Amino acid sequence: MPHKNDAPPKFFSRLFKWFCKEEYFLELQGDLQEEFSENLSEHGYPIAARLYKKEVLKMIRPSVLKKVKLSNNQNFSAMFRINAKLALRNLFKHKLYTFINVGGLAISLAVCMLILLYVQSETSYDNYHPNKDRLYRVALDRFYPDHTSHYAVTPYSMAEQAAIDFPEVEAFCRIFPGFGINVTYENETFLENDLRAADKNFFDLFGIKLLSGSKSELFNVQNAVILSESTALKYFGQDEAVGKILKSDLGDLIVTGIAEDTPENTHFEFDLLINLELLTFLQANFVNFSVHNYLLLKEGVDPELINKKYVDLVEQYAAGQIERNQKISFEEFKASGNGYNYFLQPVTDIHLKSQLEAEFEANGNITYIYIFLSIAVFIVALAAVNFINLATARSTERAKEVGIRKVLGSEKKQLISQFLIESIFVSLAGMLIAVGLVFLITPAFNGFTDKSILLSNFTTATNIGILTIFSLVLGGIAGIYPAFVLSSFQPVVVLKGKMIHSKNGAWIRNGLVVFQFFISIVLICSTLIVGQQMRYMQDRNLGFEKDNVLVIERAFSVPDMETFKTEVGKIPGVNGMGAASAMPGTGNYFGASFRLQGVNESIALNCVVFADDFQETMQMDVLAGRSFSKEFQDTLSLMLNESAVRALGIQGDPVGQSVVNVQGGNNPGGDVVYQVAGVVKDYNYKSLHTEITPMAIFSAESAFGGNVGNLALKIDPNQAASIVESIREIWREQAPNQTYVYSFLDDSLLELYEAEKKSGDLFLVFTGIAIWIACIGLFGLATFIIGSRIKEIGVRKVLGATSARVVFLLMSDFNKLIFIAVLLAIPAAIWVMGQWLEGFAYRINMIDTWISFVIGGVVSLAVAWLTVSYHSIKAAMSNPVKNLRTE
Amino acid sequence: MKGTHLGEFQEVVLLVILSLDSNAYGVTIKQEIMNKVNRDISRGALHTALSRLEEKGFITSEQGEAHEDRGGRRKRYYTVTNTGLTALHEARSLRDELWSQIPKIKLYPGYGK
Repeated sequence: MPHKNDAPPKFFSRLFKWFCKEEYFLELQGDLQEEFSENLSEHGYPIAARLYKKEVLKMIRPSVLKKVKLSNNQNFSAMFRINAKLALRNLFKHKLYTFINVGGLAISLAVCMLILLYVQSETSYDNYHPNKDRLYRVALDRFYPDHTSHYAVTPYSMAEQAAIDFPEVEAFCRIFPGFGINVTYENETFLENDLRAADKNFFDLFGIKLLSGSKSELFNVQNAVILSESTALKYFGQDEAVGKILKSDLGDLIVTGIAEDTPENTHFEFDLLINLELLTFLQANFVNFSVHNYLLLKEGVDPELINKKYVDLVEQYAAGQIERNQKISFEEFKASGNGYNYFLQPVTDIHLKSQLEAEFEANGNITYIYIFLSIAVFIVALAAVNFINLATARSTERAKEVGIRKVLGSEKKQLISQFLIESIFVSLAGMLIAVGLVFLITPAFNGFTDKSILLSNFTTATNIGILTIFSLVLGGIAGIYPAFVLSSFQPVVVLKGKMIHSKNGAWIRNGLVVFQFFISIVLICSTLIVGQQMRYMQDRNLGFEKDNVLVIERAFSVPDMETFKTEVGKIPGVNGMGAASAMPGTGNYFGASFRLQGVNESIALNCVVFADDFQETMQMDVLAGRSFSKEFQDTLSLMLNESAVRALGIQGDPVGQSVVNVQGGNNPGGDVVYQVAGVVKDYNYKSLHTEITPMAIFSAESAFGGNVGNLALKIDPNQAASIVESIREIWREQAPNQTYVYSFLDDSLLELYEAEKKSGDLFLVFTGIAIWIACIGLFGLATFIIGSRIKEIGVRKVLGATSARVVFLLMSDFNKLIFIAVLLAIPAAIWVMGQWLEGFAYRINMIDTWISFVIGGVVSLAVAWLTVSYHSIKAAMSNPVKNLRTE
Repeated sequence: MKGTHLGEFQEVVLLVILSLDSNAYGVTIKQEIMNKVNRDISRGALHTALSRLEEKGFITSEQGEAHEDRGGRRKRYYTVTNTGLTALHEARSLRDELWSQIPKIKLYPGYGK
């Protein structure tokens, strides 16, 4: 037993003794202890202790609890009622303060709750799978001589072989990410983009519920398909779907089951799930990245162990294949800087912590979760600070009340309880309004963040309890300082009418204002820097023209491309077109191995296929040689980007060089030799999060030519709508049963940065709220400070100071505070935003963000002046006689 | 009515105390309820029920012996009073009567076919 004396948890024993009625204590504690020792011998200390704690907590019930004795005063409840009444009266008497306090608190709590809801939904990803703690995805760090890529997709046999060779693996499942296919049922055709293919045990490993169909028979036929509920509804309405046949590009598919729509908190989703066996192009393989591999480990297995074992697995199975492909030994291959590092990712971590290539969907980012959580904490802290500031600021007004109470015999304790009750009232009211606000805002918030958060899931007794306790605690914490300050006034002093100048309190109040502005300025600067980075990405020269490009996707559906292009070319406003296998930023690239002729070692390049006019349409620069064109026979021509020229180690003029496309053991026809026809200037063919990597461009006339599925049109922006419609007509004529899908390139590129844009917008909202709350606090403080200097101002004016001079004097106090806040905020913002910018391969320099700090400082100063000016101008303009007469 | 009404859980507790005979104290009652009725209740919930029953006069209790396992604290043994027995009988006969009034066809669907 790990525990010393095997006694029940001490704290809980004491707690129990503290709250249990004395007459029952001996019996109950005896019973609990007896049970504890029994559990101890049966289940060991941890379980016994846990059960004991649970029992103690369940003892908290009226029949066991001591009668509450909060005060020695017999009339406690009467006191409480009077205090409550006084608190309410006070709050209603000072409507502006109450409004500021309650309103500020309500808004910040509402924001805080929304953030928590958001965080909750982001962190709940994949938490519903039956063995989620043991379920992992196999991911890969692929080291190349000049860079490293991180892949979510891995070779087809990676999991299968692990399940065979490693005794620690209980089961495996593969999911093929799929492609878009046309699906027809009773003459109605839909383009289905969310098609996935999986192994038979998919529904055992993943917690997606099957609504109809038998789990064991789902994949009994090769052409089985399982539909999501809404897909089934789309094709079959209310009719029975199981057993029906759908026609598709993959042949007839038999519906064998219906699953619930993939829960939103899953890192993938499917509308159609087909049998992996149907895709015969997927073959046993250890080097081509094709599927998402999942492993279910046995109970208690450390994933690190599997990671280590994968090193051997690569040596054993992949090395041979690599050697055949590369024609060098695996040792040489590794020595030249190549390598495979397979590792397991917990499935529950994928959504927030995995940003690999070929993810199912754009994942979230744990950094944003941390940022948002800290913002939530800060905003509530800001509101609490206001509360303290406003309460102390009002102390001048309440000094007399306190004096009289003390003279009439109030104890300090009673006064403290009165002020605490007041502040708890405020925080409870704030909480109530906040909950109301959350209910109002949630629909809009859902729309904005693309989530479907259901509040009804959160209205549980526990949550309501937590909120109540939280608002009590918040009210207590915020009220405790003012309560002590107010209740410690000397009655003789305050009743004489002397102003309170608590020097000790000054630094606390000033410190709080500095803190508030510090937070606000950090937020302002961060928002501005986010904006700068977004603008930078939009304005950056990507190496091609992204504006006014209309993309016809799935152009391979058209039977005769040439006729189609001729027809489209006749539409007014179309100024040129060209097709490619992948559009920059959005497309999928395939990998192929190349080596320079005469060199043994080959490297993998991302590949794309361009038809003749694509380079010209996209206005990409050709640095050397030529682009593909009709005048040339380009079957064996190749274009490279600059990086590829460097990566292949080409010396001198690259044009005319022979480059070998290594086919390896898979292709008996052997390697194919291509001539480099031209070099394209590096263009950002992926998002700006990643650097430009080496790329090879095949011609549409080459063996890969069938792939050109995206037709890019250079169009006149003023006629965009009519062009889209005209093409629709032509499409309907030429490809009647195919879906017409089009997009604008600049929109598609913007979508790459959707997460950043949304966070930027959220930042903006939070910043606004933070500034607003800080201003309220400053407003309160100004009331206090200027209120206490009103006589000084009177004297100054009598002695000849101008109003302007007085305003300036009053403002300068606040300038100091803001200045300190700016000084503190700059390094903090630089640090936070530095972290954020790390996520971009192409980013603004920190030094270029100075303008953001200037703007941030000036804005906060201006806002502070505006806030303070109301009071200072009023004080400066007032008649000095009035202020001096009251003595 | 409120004074003599016997709740369902209280009825279970009474029966368990009776079945435990002279060994009915907190821990045994709780375990018996777990084993026989398959209900996992907390000691606190049991305490509430026991003190209600005692208030109503259905059970009495007396101090028992102390034991080292209990940190030297005494047990409190519970016994059912005559009032308690009467209440149990009443509850049972009330229930029997209700049962007897239900047509058999409702209780056993398929009866008589």
